[in-house]
Amino acid sequence: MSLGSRWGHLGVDSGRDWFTAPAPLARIAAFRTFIYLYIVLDLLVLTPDVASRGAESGALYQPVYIADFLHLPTPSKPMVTFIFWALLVLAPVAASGKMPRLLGSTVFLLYLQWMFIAMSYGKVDHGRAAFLTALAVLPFVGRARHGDMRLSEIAGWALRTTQIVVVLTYFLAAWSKIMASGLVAWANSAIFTQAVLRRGTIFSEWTLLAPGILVLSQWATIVFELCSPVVFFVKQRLRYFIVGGFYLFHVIVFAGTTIGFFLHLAAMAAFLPLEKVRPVRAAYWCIGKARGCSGDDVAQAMRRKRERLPFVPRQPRTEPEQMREPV
Amino acid sequence: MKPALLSPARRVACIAASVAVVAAFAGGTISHDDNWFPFAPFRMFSTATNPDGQVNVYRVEGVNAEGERLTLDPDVIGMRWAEIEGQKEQMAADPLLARNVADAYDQRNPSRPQIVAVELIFAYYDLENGSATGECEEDVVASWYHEDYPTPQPSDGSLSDLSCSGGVFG
Repeated sequence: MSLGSRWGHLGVDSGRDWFTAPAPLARIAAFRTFIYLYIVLDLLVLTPDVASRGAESGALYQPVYIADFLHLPTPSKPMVTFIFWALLVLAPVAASGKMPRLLGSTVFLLYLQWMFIAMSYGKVDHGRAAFLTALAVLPFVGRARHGDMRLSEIAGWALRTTQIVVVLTYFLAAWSKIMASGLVAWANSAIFTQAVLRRGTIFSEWTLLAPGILVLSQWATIVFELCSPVVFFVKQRLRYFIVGGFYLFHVIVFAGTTIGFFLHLAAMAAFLPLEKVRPVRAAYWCIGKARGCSGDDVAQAMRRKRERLPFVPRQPRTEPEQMREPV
Repeated sequence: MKPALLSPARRVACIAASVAVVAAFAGGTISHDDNWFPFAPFRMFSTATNPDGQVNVYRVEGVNAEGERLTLDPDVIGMRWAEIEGQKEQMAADPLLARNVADAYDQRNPSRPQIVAVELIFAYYDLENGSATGECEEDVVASWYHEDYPTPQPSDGSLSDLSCSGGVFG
């Protein structure tokens, strides 16, 4: 069987093309806006504790290997504050799509340094790999405008690489479990009992009285993780279902233990047709409609804006002279 | 519409980069060492807890200069309990490291009485066939006590629902 027929249903001609299967530039534009704005959410809401680093003495600082190898300085308060504000300002600008290579690279390096700080105090969080990968590959795509449906191989490669790391996060998590404990031993263990005892919620604490359910969940988890690469070998429609399943898995984990892999969830959007979500266009549409414009008017105004034509305000409709009431 | 294609050289570079990324994460997983971040292994919950063994649940408590015991929650000390737990061996060997937790509290809460004792407390729940039996014991695995203040009474667990007495089966 030739590669062509084997990969044909995936819309690519060969395994080589699979890595660079073209994707619309609009998808990159949407993904880029989403990911860079997500950094703001992460800084302010998801992991705000990183911003308090540097205040305490450096004695608890244990740099991870790469930070150590690069001789990155021990975090001080001014340094942490600088990176925080630099990211808080630059990430939204990068989200606009301006100077995608320069700003994208800068934001990636700043955020990587931010992560090195966050992970160098005795606890390394898992599930950040795909988000960092997305930040690393996005600058390579260069310019991509919202709504630009032209296909591009480099855009496809950036999304594919992010998708690969999303799936690796699951697959290698299963591998880690097998390495650390053995497949059967892990799946039959009481590790979820430990998780619920430590971080249980009203949705999960009842399972402590029914440990069989937790063991069943462990088997389901490791089978799901081992099978996750299947998402690449199915048709598009089924792929969306599987990605929906990934999201559902995290909803259940969060409900049961309040553990959320939020950055991973954001990166997983690389699987989705994000170009179809157009919040700004929808807002224009709603405002236009509210002002009584027809759908055609709004569409025309937006086209003029996109093509950077000068804005020509519509003449207000005046009643004929003879119709006016006498003053 | 014809897609924007990569030159053959760039295509090879892109594929090589993707393969290198996969190799780096696989290598990190084999190393089984978190310090390889961002290529650290995905070790979340990778250990197998013995269904007939014990489960540990930890918390961090402190005592202030007025003798009042309090839970040193992550938001009042600016560090996560998992980070303190991750350095428990070093803190057990060198109590002055645990003092950093007190310093962090004092810096963030200058108007409150200073912290003169820090304790990382483990509650060990006994399991039988994966169910907690209700048997539970506690141990202070790392601590720091200010030399100018009397050693405080041991925690009675009343401050935390993660303790043996306040726990799920308490």
